[in-house]
Amino acid sequence: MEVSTVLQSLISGLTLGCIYAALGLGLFVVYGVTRVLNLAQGEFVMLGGMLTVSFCSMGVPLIGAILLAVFVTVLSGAFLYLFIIRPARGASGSTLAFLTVGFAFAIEGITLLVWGWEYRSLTNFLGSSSIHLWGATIFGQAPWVVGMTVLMVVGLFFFFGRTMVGKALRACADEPLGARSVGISIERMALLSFVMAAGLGAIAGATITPLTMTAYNVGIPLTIKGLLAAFLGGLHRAEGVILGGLLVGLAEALSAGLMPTGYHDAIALAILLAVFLARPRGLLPSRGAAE
Amino acid sequence: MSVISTTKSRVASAYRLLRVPRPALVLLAVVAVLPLVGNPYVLSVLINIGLYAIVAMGLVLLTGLAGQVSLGQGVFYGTGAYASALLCLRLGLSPWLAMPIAAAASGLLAVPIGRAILRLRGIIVAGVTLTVNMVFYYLTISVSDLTGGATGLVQIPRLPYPKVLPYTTFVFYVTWLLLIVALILSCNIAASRVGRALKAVNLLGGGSEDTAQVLGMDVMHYKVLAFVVAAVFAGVAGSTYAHYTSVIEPHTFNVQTSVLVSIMVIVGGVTSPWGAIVGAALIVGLTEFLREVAPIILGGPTGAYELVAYGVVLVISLLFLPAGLCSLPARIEQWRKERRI
Amino acid sequence: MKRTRGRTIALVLCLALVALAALPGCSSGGDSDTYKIGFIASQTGPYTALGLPAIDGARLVVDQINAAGGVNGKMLELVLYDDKGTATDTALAAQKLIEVDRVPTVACITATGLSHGMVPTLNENKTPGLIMSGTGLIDASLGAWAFKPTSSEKDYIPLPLGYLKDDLGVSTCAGMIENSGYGEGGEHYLDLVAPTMGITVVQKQHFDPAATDMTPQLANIKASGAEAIFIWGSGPAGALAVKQAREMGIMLPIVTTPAQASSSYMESFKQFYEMEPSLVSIDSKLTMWQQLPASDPDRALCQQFDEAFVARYNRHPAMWEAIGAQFIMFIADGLDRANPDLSDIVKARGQLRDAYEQTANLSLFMGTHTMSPTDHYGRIVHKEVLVTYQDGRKVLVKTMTD
Repeated sequence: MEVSTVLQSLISGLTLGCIYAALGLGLFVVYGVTRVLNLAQGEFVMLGGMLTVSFCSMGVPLIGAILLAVFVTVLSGAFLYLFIIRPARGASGSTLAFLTVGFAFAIEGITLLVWGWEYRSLTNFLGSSSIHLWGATIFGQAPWVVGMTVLMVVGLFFFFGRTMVGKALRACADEPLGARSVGISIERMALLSFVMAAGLGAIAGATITPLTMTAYNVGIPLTIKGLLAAFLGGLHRAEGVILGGLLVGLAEALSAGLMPTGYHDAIALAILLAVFLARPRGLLPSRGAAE
Repeated sequence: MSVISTTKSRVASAYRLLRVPRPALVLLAVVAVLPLVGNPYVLSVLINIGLYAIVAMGLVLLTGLAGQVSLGQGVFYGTGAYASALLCLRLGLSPWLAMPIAAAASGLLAVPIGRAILRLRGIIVAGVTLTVNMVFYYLTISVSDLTGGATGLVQIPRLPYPKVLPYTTFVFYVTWLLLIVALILSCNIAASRVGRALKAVNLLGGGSEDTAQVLGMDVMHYKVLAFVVAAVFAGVAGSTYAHYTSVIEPHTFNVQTSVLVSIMVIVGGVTSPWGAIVGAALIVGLTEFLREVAPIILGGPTGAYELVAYGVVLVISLLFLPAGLCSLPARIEQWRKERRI
Repeated sequence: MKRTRGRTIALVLCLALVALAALPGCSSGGDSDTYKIGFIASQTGPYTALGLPAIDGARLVVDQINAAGGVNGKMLELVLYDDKGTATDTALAAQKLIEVDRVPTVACITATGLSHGMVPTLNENKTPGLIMSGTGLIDASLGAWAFKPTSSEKDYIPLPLGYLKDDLGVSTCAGMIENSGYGEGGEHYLDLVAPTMGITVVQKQHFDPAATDMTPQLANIKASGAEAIFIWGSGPAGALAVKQAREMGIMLPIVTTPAQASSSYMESFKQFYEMEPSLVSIDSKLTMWQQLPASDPDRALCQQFDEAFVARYNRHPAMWEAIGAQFIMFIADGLDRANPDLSDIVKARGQLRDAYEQTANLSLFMGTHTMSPTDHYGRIVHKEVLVTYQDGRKVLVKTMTD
């Protein structure tokens, strides 16, 4: 077992882990506030990437392209909540989840019609180049991905912990009745959660595209990975989701590098399954409130 | 004389043990004559509906009765298919013998998986069953000496059948007869003492386990039972599928199929086993309807448009009937009541 | 009781839907004025990269033939169905084409594994059809009604292997194999053929078609000491693997299968494809015909198609467009010789099948085919080429006859 191979697998795992954690966080934001499992989260990520590529190819500088992409994706997130989720208030969790699935299918089809099937790529932000370290390589865009996830995490902590709006969102998640009684509009908070998830997803999408490429059908596999991260971590704590994402990424990469090659996909998932069964309430203990 | 009357009374009491809902008999009659009007394509569509409906019906029992979400029916659909195919290809068994063995294999596989998973509560079960399905999918690709790998298995023998019928017609009868049997079984399970108790436990919501224990019910035992029944249903359908198409490959049994079956259950409704049939018919019917209609309205490749339309219809049908199509009569009742007031 | 009424309604709904499903059965497809060609391809799903370009290529040829008066005075008509990348939809599309649209022939451009499912359907329903399987593993079991006028890797794998051995002096290689039917076929023939050509496969790594990070696998390959890498797949991961290998500082010669030669990857990964040693891909003559000598009989065919394609679609055609096109060319050739009697579709299908079997020396983009009762693949001339990348263009490296 070569050290460089192990190191490379760790680097790969960390990078993938950050991507999956970002996806998991998007799921967490919506689920935490609305109890809706937004299975269209991957589509937000895909839209972010596709739109950024399009705007860049029109000559818009990268920052502007990303902002525009976020704006359009946020509109789609608002659409999802206002016209699809809110009218279905009171429906079962499964129904709400499958409403987002219908939305995801429609987004996929529209994207295919507008952009075609081709895969699109972006150059690394600021032209970052690879770093070579003890026989392993860190791709130029990888620090951006990790940094994006870190910023996302820090930003969410600050938002939920320090700002009035964030606290109101937390109140909705923990105690909807109480929140309403102090005048917090649940519908406004729900809309905000969808909008945030869409925006975060779009940023993630733009950031990962130089690394992974994007196309109309990358949404669903990404959603699945995000689900694994969120479920593993336990949907009740953001820190758990992040850990879950890292675990999914590391299992995938370390298996690919170190396990018998024909079996590494199965092994990675079996590891995750074992973790699920060992810690069904999530990787981290619940923070007090009964879940 | 006495032998005959004893037999008669035995049959009568057996019939009473198993209630056959009248609509099931009507369905049986319709099924019997359908091949006279439908062409092989229609019968293929109906076979697809039937197979999915069997898998979905297991899920209706699991979700509607035992309150467990599962994204893992694909595992048992696949186990039934691969087990049946391998028993015929490697051991030379007759497909008619392989089918019940494969169904039993699915059921047996469900026992340890169910015991491990079903002690978990809530939405996490969806995540775990999803992972199990993914492991299964990757294993069918990895263990290629056994399963044929990503290419799958070919030349799976057909079910021996009377040559007077075309094979498609024969498989149609087999599928829908199996479906009707599954339907009758499901209705009886739902109406049974166990079924009603499970529903009561389920309806009370997440904290129902405690109530159940107070009532003296071993909920876990019945949840695993429901899981096994769902697996057996899926296994039977998988086996039929393998002998119908003669070619199976891993993608047919992956997460995508589990999600599709879940969509059928949601669209049809979990309140009744009929929901499985209605949901399967709606989803497959919708896909074929779009395939028929889209090229007439638009020219050229219409696949992307069909995908958009499919998503839109799914959203609209869930917005109008969030509890599925089987809740329509209840909704009509409610609407009528509201009008009277 | 409410529940009984509910169930009756459910039943009625069932029957209504059944009736709706029966409606297509009523519309008849029998048409004596046009040759309907059933065309199943991935318009959505994981294989749109194969299906949509193939449809474009097919449509161009259909329009060209119709503009020139059709075949036997009849126009060609494509009946397009989406296989969505699943076996069940492929089968249903085929059934519909055969029973409802009553087409004389079916073309199936889809992933290797899915097209194998078509073989029993075609043979069962006695309808002559073309399948696009990339692997030679199926060539012996096509049956009486399935034909394969396209490539088998067993025939073109000596090309890159010969290049590695004779031109580069390489004697060991590593395989990056996709977890798909196509990848499995490639792995099988790589293991079979490479030793006979003096190359040892010292390492094999596998990847998912949709994988986004193959650095662990590439690290294993780097550590194995292999002198060259074979990337075998049809999904996007193969192209990403090239980029990632180069970024990791792996500067070994890399050979890829045709899917990685698509122009969208060429543009996105230009600097990595062109980095020395520049990437080598198996490709079709269509993408670099300008470099063929004037004496090459395929040059004119490729030029004509390329120019017509650019005029219509404003982009250059590549491998999958060529395969879609050549399927139509094969079918048109068969229709021309068979002149099938469309008033009796069963008879017409038999006539067309016989004509397909009598195809002789038909020059197509990927090869020349002569079919026979025992060989429904029948490729006698193999036209794959090896190309490399320079200044945004493809450059010919080696042909099958070099």
